[in-house]
Amino acid sequence: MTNNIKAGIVSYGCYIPRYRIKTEEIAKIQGQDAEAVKKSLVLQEKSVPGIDEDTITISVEAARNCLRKTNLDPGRIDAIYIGSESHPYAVKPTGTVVAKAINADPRLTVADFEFACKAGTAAVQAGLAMVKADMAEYSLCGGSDTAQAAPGDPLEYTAAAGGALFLLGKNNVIAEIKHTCSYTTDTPDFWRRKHQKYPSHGGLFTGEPAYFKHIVSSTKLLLKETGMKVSDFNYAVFHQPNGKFYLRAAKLLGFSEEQYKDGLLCPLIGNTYSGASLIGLCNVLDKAKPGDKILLTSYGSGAGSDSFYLEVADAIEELRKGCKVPDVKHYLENKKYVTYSEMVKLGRELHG
Amino acid sequence: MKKVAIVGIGMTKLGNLWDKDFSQLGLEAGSKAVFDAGLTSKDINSLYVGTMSSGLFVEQEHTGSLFSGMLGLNNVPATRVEGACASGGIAIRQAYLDILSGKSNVSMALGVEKMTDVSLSQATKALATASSQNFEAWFGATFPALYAMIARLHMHKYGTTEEQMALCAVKNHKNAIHNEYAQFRKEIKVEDVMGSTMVSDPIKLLDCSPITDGAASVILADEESAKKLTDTPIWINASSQGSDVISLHERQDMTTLSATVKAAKDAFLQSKLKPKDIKCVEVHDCFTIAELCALEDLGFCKKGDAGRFIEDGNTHLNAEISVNASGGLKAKGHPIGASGIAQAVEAVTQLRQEAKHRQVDDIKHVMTHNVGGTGGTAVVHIFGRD
Amino acid sequence: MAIPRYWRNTQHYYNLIGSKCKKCGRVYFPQRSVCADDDSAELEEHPLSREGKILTFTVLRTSLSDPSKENTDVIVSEMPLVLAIIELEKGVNVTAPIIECEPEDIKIGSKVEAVFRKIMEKGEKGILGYSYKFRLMR
Repeated sequence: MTNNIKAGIVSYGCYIPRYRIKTEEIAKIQGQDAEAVKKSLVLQEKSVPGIDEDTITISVEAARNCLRKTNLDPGRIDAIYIGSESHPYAVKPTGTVVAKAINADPRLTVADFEFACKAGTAAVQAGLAMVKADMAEYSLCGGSDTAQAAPGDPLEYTAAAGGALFLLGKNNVIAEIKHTCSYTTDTPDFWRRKHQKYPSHGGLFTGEPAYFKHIVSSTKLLLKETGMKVSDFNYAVFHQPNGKFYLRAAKLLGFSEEQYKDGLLCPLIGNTYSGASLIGLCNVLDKAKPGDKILLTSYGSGAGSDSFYLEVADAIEELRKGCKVPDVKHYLENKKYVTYSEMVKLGRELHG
Repeated sequence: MKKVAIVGIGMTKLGNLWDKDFSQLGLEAGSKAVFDAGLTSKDINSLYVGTMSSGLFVEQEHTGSLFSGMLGLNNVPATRVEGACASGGIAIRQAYLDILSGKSNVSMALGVEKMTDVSLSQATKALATASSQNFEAWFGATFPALYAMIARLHMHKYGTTEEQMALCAVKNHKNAIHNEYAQFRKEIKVEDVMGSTMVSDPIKLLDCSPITDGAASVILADEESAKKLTDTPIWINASSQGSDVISLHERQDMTTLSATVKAAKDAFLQSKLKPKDIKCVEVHDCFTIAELCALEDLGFCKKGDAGRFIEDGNTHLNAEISVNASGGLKAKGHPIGASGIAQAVEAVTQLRQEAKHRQVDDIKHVMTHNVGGTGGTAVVHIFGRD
Repeated sequence: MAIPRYWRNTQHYYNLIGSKCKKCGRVYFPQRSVCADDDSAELEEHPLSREGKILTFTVLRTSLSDPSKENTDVIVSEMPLVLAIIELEKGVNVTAPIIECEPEDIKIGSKVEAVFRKIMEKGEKGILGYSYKFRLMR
């Protein structure tokens, strides 16, 4: 459901931690055949957060990157919504720190979102609604995560860190969000109980009835509601718990490599959970031309999907002009490999 | 100008004194000083206690009352003073000013610190309170780290070497062998310092003064009382104090302790002496680099020359200038609030010609130099036989 | 660090905002209400440059963690910790960690930029503290 008021992305920013661990390094510890794992997950490496990084610091860096592209007075942001499943506090919103760190005016509303890996897109829908309802001139919303995985769990290969935030508004829109819809059911494929350090999951059950069913249903719903065809889109981005799921979903829906390749970053940075599909969108926006049409469908366990139809506007050229803010490519290239034991150290298992 | 003399000294052994409580340390040093002066506790008109962080180290504040009671003073004014590691030096200066003002004839300065009742990390944290809590300590800056940044800059600007710094530790250990109160009475070599554990690059473990328990006390008297009490009063020729911003990063020149420069200038003015008149000095060598900075800032060598000055052997016992004949904070020990007073005890011992194997020959004056933090406070005294 | 003290300083720790004397132009960090040079009480907020150069540094190799858990403030940092004094503007320096670097890459004069990182955990249950740290400019 959406009204006809035009609104969309005014600016965007992402952040990916510098450290990476190769799939081989984790396979060595888990006692598995690295080549087999790389092939089955379509994964080379994943990002690892620094010892002093969490969802708050990643969100702040992404927010600052987002705002540095514009001259917008942060005092004009009326809402900050951040989605994550690793908010550092169970009680005390991540967004409060972000608001202070970007010098926002306290006269704004803030809330944290949680819906597994689609908390970021849920936040974007809420932020968009605020703008469309004239309850916010600008909203800053998106998702960040420092995903956890129990040692030895297959999730260890993919659980990564990163985030992306979007400034939404009605003026100087670089990509109009022309439509959004969701598809939500009660499907217990992946969860983390209260006070548990690591999430649990249903193994194979996370595939067919969970990820694929929701991604496909939500995307088809969007196509139906907008009257668009798969071939109308220049780019398609999906949630990416691993490379293989993404590729299969894209093919199931009939998208070509040309359409889906720029949105797929999981093989290089892993699954950044609430950041995953949104960092993919940032990478597409780094390359897209005015008039390009983008489809995005996220997925969050539990379970649900949010789909978006965006159309790139002329203002994107202006935003890019002389821009010195790090783009996705910068973060993909600026990396330092760590060993498994260094990753454990960064995870502070060895520290006070 | 009225004259003030030191007429009594007393101190405890310095070290890790597991069987001695904070209050016992103060009592031992204070009563030794009273006895040395030939007085009774009832003759003391005022007490100044120097302790840096008794609250964090032994959870005891109100130390003026504590020691006045322990020593059996006659309900006289008892005041605690605090200036981080310079607390002891400030206590002497306050006692000196008290006598100059005419309010007291005889005053006691007592420095006490008990550092080993807490864990090493708690001690480190207590010491770090002498830096800016909000803008230095919070970022992980410990005292070795702050002095290491001074050392790095000194090396960068003046070509000072780690070996030159190590020579301070080697010399001070050598001197301490002859000091029965010293914490370490063991010779070390430059290789030992260079090979010791890296604490905060370029500062290594043997560049650092230790964690020490101990107390020291001096009794000051006006001219008339002093002459009645002793044939060898040791006169205070100068007492001066300087201050500076608390954070190292706020200083214009981070290799110069402006508080020391100011205090030294005042001390030379008061005493009508020049650096070349001083043949024996106790400087605040909490880290070896601090001894280098002190020699420059006090005027014994040019800025940037201390490394070479030390390397040329000028600071050995009975060389050009005997620096830290006691073993300094490095080897004698650094019971924070007591250190400034222990320096004065050494000065008096030297001037009374009672320092035995570490006696500096033919001296008329001894200077002491006591620093708080990275140089936020500095106290300089010159003591003399006349 | 006590919670109110941290809270009062977030403008410094998050945003490096100092103050500037309207009369003489001297910049202070942390902020001040009275200028030390001319005693003027007219100072205005002044955001500092987020880029600077290293004046001096050290590599702290002693662990800051407290195995006995007696101190509730845990300083969150990589070990070894590279600590530096950084000049942000003429006469305005800060002490802060340099992160994501090999100690041997750090030189006096190296250019650095501010980042936002976690610096303190008040035990396992207490608040989290965030602040500026720096990294080498790429």
